[in-house]
Amino acid sequence: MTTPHPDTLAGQREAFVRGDTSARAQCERALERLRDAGAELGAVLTLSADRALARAAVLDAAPDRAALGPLAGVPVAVKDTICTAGIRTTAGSRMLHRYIPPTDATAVARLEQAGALIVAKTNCDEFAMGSSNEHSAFGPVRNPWDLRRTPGGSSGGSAAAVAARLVPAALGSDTGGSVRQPAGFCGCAGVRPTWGRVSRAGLVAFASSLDQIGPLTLTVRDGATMLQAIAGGDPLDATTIPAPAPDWAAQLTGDIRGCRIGVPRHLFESGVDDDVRAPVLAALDVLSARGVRLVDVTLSQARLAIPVYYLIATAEASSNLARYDGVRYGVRAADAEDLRDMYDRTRSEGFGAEVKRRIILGTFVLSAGYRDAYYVKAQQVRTLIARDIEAALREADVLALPTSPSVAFALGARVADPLTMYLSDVFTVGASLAGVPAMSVPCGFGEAGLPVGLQIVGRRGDEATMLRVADAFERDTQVWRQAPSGARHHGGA
Amino acid sequence: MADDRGDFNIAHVAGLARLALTPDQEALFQKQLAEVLAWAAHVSAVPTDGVPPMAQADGPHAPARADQVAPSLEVPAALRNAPDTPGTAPLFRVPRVIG
Repeated sequence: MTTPHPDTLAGQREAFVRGDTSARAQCERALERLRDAGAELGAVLTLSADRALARAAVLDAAPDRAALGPLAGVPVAVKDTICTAGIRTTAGSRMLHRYIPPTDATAVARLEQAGALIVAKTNCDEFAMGSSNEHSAFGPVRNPWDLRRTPGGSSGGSAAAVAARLVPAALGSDTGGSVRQPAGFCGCAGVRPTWGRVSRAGLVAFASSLDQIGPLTLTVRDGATMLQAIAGGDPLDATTIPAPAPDWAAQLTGDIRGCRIGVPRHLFESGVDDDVRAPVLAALDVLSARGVRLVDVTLSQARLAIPVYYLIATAEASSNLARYDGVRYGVRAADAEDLRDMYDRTRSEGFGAEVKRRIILGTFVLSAGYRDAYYVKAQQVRTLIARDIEAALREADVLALPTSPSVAFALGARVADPLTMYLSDVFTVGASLAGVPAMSVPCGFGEAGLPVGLQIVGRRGDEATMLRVADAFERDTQVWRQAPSGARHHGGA
Repeated sequence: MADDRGDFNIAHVAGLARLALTPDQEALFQKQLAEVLAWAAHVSAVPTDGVPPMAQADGPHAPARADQVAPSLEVPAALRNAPDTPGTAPLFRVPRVIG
C-alpha cells in the first residue's frame, strides 16, 4: 500500500508509528492550527491542550508504537454536543456555557482508547438544532472555502476544522443530517451510522429516536477506521446494537462490480441546483465505469420527510430539553420570585431563538388535543417513509443522491426564515427517520468552486457496502485532495 | 388537522414549555410556527389507516439487564455543576416551593 497522505488520519498515525514524529509534535501542531485558523473560522469553542498533551506523553513513552490503537497519535476534535470529562461542553448554548461534564461520552473514551488525542471541542448549532451553524450562542462558523458562507450545520465546526486541515478527523452528531450536510458543504467525508451502531451515552440529547454520533474525515477509509473505533454495544446506552463492529476498513477493496446503486432521479428533477446536479450525475458515471449497475428507484414519500422530521424531532426535543431547569446543572436566572419563575426565566435566558422555536413547536404537537393529529400521525407517516426506503433498498444495495440541494449558502441568507432553513435538510432526513446508515463523500465543485457532496445510503446494519461504494468512488476522483486555499498543509510533505 | 393559525396559541404553549417570551418574540414565533404547521398539514392528508406509528428504528429494544447495583456518579461529581448548593449538605437548593 502506498504511504497515506500526511494530512489524513492514516498518514498521521503512520508518521507517529514509524517514528517520523512524536505524538506531542502532532498534538502541538494541531493545537497551534486550531488556535490560529480555528479562531478565524469560529470553529473552536474550547482547546483541551493539557489533556491531549498528557495523553501524547503516554503514547510517546510506549515501547511498541505499532501495538497502539488505530488512531495512535492522531489529533481529533469533538463536537461540543459530546461530553468530555473535565473539559467544558456547551452544546453551543448559553445554558451550558460553564458546564464541565463529570464523565466522557463512550465515543470519546473509545477514541482515546484507540490512541486519539482529543485536542478541541468544536462549535455547533445550539443543541445541534440548525443547518448553518448560525444558531450557536458563541457565533457562527465560517466555511473554509469562502468565509462569507456557512459550513453547514449543526456539526459545522467539526466539518470546517477537518476541511481546513486543522485536524485530520473530528466527531459530529447527526439527527437530521448534521454530519452529512456540513461534510458536503465543506468537502469532507461524513458518516451517519445505522441508528444504534454508536453509543449516545454522553451525547447531549436532542431527538433520541434520531440522534447518532459519526465521524468527519478527509477520506472514506479514515471514516471507516474512526467509526470502527467508536462503534459497538454499550451498557450505558440500551439502544445500541450489541454486535461488535465489523472491520470496515479491511473491506474497502475498491471492487464494487455488480453492486446495484439505486438512483431516485425524480428527486433530482426539481429543487436541486444545476451546479449540484451536474457533479452528482457525473459521479454516477464514475460509478458505472467501476462496474456497478444503476437502478432507477422511486421514493414516493420523500416530500413528506421534512415535515415528519420536524414534527418528531421537535416533540422529542421538547421532552429532552425539559431537563434544563436551572436546578442540577447549567445556568440559573438570578433573583427568581419562586420556583416557576426560576424555570421560566432560566430557560428564557439560557436558550437561543431557534431552540425556543423548536421547544414550542414540540410542546404544541405533544399537547392535549393535538398529539394524535400531529405527533402520532407523523410517527405513522414515518413508518411509510421507512418502508419506502427499505423497498428501494431491496431493489438496490445502496442509494445515491445529492447530500444537499445547493452548495453552501451565504451566512445570514436563511437565518430569518426557518422554513427555508429546514428545507436544507430535504435529502438527509429520510435516512435519519428510517434509521439506515448514510454518508456524504465529496464528488466535485459547484458555484464559486464550492464543494458538492454525494450521499450514499445503505441498508440498516450494512455500513460495509455503503463505505465500499464511497471508497471506490473516492479512489477514482480524490476530490478531498483539493484543499481550500487558506488551509495549511504539512510542510514539505 | 384544524386551521393551525387559529389553533396555535403561542402564549399558552410557551407557558407549557416554561418559556417566558417577549412580545416581539411571541409575534415572530406565532407567525413562523404557524407557517411551519401549515406546511406540516401535508402530513395529515396521508392515509394511514392500519399503519403502526414508528417510535424508533427497528432493533434491540432496551434489552433487560441484571438487576444489580453498579457504581454510578459520586455525589460530589453530581453536585459540581449545580448553580446553587448549600455547601453544608449534598443538596440542590431551589427557591421556596411551599409558602
